[in-house]
Amino acid sequence: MKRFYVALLSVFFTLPWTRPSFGYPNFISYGYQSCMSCHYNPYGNGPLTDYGRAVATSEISSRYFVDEKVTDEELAKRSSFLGHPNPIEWLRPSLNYRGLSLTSNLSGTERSTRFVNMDLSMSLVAKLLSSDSLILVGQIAYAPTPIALAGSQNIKNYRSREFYAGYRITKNFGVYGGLMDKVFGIRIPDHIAYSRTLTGLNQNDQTHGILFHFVNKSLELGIQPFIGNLVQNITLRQKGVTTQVEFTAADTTRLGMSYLKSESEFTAVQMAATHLRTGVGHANSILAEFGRVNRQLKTQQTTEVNDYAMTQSQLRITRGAWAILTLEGKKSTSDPNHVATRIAPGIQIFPRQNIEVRADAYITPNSTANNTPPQCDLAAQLHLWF
Amino acid sequence: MMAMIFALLYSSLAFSDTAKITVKVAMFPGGSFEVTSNEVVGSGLKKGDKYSAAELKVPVKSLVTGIDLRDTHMRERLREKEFPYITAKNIDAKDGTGTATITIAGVTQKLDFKFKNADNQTAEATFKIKLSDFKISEISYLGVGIEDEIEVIANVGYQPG
Repeated sequence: MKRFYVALLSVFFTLPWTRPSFGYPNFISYGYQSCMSCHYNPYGNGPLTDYGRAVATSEISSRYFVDEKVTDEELAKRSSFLGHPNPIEWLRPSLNYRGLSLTSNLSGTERSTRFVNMDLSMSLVAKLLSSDSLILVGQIAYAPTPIALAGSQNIKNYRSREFYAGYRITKNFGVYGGLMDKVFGIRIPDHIAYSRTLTGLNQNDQTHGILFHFVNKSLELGIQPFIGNLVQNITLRQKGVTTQVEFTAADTTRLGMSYLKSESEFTAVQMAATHLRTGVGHANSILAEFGRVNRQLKTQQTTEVNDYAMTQSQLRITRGAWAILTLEGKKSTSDPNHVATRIAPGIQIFPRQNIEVRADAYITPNSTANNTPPQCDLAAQLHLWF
Repeated sequence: MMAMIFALLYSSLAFSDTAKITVKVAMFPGGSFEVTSNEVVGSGLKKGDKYSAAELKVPVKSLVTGIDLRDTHMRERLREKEFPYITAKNIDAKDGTGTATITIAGVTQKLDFKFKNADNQTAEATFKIKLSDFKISEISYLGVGIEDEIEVIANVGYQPG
């Protein structure tokens, strides 16, 4: 009955705007308001901490393939890299893989299926002081060539998405410097979500900068001045500042706001968003984000202003399995007919430690934005981490 | 006679439905969780504007946090095998405040609390305690710990005297 109410509530939250997407910020439902409990990066993404690995195996993943005699405590102890005790106490290696099978235009005449190795990355974390108060994080990753650039010669398929040092001056305050994701909005792992594509905060959009991070029981604040990704051509580097503040409204409810302003020789960007993360009952959650992106293309002397909305509800079916409903939409304020909505029901399963399997349908009922008819795409994703 | 038995049965059911302990625990870095139990053994008595109870007990095994492994760790730190109950004794309250002696993991401390009537048969007491006062300290698991001070909200049934 409780699940019914959660589903009802999520529909209530999402329908009035008829828009929104998915991910791991959902685990606020366990009381993890800050991403810091489970990730070295205080805003999530990147390698898991020892605690994050233990939670993933002892609470998030199913026990279906685990012998009854094996306790959660033992599973947690086996959650380190390749299941072995760390040979060097201060080093934490990890491997990550994501592959996607995408069937596009399911109901159309031009149906196509392709498989994409989205990510294969290796990370190394050096824990140089106790309580992880001084860390060095490095990552090298394979990134596939985007379809739109398939014919290009100068595409680099190997890159680093994280290369930074972090120092917690106090338990509440830390400074991080190097290559990191920009702090903005809810960091969901869905690359095609409007909240990520419109904002330009996607898989390969990291920047060099400094992150000042404060967290206590009632507040989490991040301020990140940045100078662009130094690997990029200097003319393309977006330089600016981004900030996010989240307030704890209740034990498992956070309300937040984000603001980003940046500029390069070609583009000036200003964007703002407000967001909500809330847990409902045991391990169920609702995320919502509403934002506006103002992007000025200097060479064309044009400005695009887009609003977006996304909500995502996550409903626990049993340990290791969740149903997900993502609703999102976008609208150009300069062209009121430029509207797109998307409904994405999905299922997320962690059949055992180190494995995530996910299936989502992306239903786009109308999209005047691209002048396309209703469309349905299916995505199946395999995520492995070691 | 039958009416009296039904009345007693009804009142005891009402107490067990409303009795609840909620403990708010803050984690570092960032986050919180609640420890809850719906099992409170015993009830209070109201005489005039005074409330009292000789003893209330909460079985440690009834406390849950929402994560099984965390439950296991919590019960270990509360030394459940040696001390299967958390107890509150000598509870006296009037005009919204009260005192009690509480025993956690074998350590007894006197404390003050605030209370209000949740309904006609239930009082809600709130108080904060420091775990270190009960010799429970440095609770941390793989780098994630909890703050020393916790807030307790106890809903306890009482019988009008």
